[in-house]
Amino acid sequence: MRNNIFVVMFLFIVFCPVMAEAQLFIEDGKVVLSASGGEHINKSVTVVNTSKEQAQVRVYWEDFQYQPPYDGTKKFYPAGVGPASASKFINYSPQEISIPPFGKEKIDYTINVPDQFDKGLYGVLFFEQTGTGVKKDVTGVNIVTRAGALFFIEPKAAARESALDKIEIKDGNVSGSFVNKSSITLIPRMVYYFMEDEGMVKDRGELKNLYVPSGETASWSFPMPTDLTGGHYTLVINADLGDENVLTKEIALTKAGSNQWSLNIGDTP
Amino acid sequence: MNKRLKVLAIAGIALVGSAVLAMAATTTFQVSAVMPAATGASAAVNKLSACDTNGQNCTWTPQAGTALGFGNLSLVSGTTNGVAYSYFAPGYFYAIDVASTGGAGKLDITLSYADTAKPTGQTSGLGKKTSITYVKVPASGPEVQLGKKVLSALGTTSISNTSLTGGYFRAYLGIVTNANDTDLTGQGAETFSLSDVAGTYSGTLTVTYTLV
Repeated sequence: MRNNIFVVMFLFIVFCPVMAEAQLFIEDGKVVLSASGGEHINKSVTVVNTSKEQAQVRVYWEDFQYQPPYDGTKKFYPAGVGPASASKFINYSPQEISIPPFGKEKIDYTINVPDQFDKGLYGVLFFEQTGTGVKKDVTGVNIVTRAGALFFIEPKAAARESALDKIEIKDGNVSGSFVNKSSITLIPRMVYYFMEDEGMVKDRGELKNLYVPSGETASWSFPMPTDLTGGHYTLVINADLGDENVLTKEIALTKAGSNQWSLNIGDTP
Repeated sequence: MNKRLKVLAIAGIALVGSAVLAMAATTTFQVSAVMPAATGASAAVNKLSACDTNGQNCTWTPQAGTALGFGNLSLVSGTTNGVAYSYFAPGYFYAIDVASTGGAGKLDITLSYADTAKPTGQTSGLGKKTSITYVKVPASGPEVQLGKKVLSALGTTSISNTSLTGGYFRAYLGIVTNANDTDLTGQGAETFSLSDVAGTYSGTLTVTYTLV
């Protein structure tokens, strides 16, 4: 009897998820392409139906851009409407697919990179499940789920220029801004460490990721360590900009008394 | 030593010997695997009915598909603190569990809504008469409310991946029964009333998943 209960529980756990609508899984959620002007790119995105139900899927393109506070929040636009839209340079096929249970399909795409290619182009290829919708003459809401593959098409060896500005210490936090001076979206991975005069690292940490479109400025902050003794320190902030580009900022700090900090900022190339 | 033991001993020596010979000609194979930054989407819907007066302890009924009908609305009337009220409601609401699956990447969720039909001559659509309460369902402990809006006020609402850490996303969707709900202040929430035009009201709620 006890074994039977376990068997029933096991079957429930295994088969319960398939009570949901057919589930889509995109193998390439983020497509990052470095290209040269005039280049033709032919690739594909694979979408998997991870349920035991047939999935009817509509495939279409939209534009997107990261939005303030640049923590990854995006705004979607119809194709061709968003800033830095890649929509007119991409073709994809098919645009309607039917994926069998636990099956997969490939969407082939071609990107015709413009001859004059000096700034990043962006967009998202959506895979939308087309359900039956609310029946006619019935009041109700139809839920549409869609998953997207983000496209980042950027010039090869695009300069990754940025600055860390407006650094200040206030209310126990170090804060500042990250300015993207590049022609592409930058997603800096930022770390910091506090070094005492003798070169010993006394504290370190990682900042939240930022997603900053070309020409935009994002704010960042992190708490000052409270357990450092009085004296001189150097705060080093490293922003990994990708493609082996790193921005480093060194800030001379002095702690006098309890949490009385003063700073003196200098740049390193 | 009997014959069987001798055979076993010779076989053992042969095995060790061959292993030593193999080690003398060792080749290193590099093994690697890349977990793709994948993204996936699914939605499971339950109808919640027969709730208590606080909207708790409801009966959960799984729904096939994602078309959430409210059927023919019934008139609910009475008095609260001597003030008469009346509105039309279905007597149930829905819970939408959004399961986001991912590989190496972090996902975020965006909600948007559009009215698709309302009776001729009717001013407000279903978007002003339906509220959505979205929460994080943690692995243990009570749900954490992330927001409550009427559907027409959703605009493009993003649910950051950090707000869902340690849990998953659930949205409760129901016909507005209290236009003065303080969570809905300034959003133009309306109940279905006798002044609304009879007919069918519908809309589409789009749930979008992308990597951050």
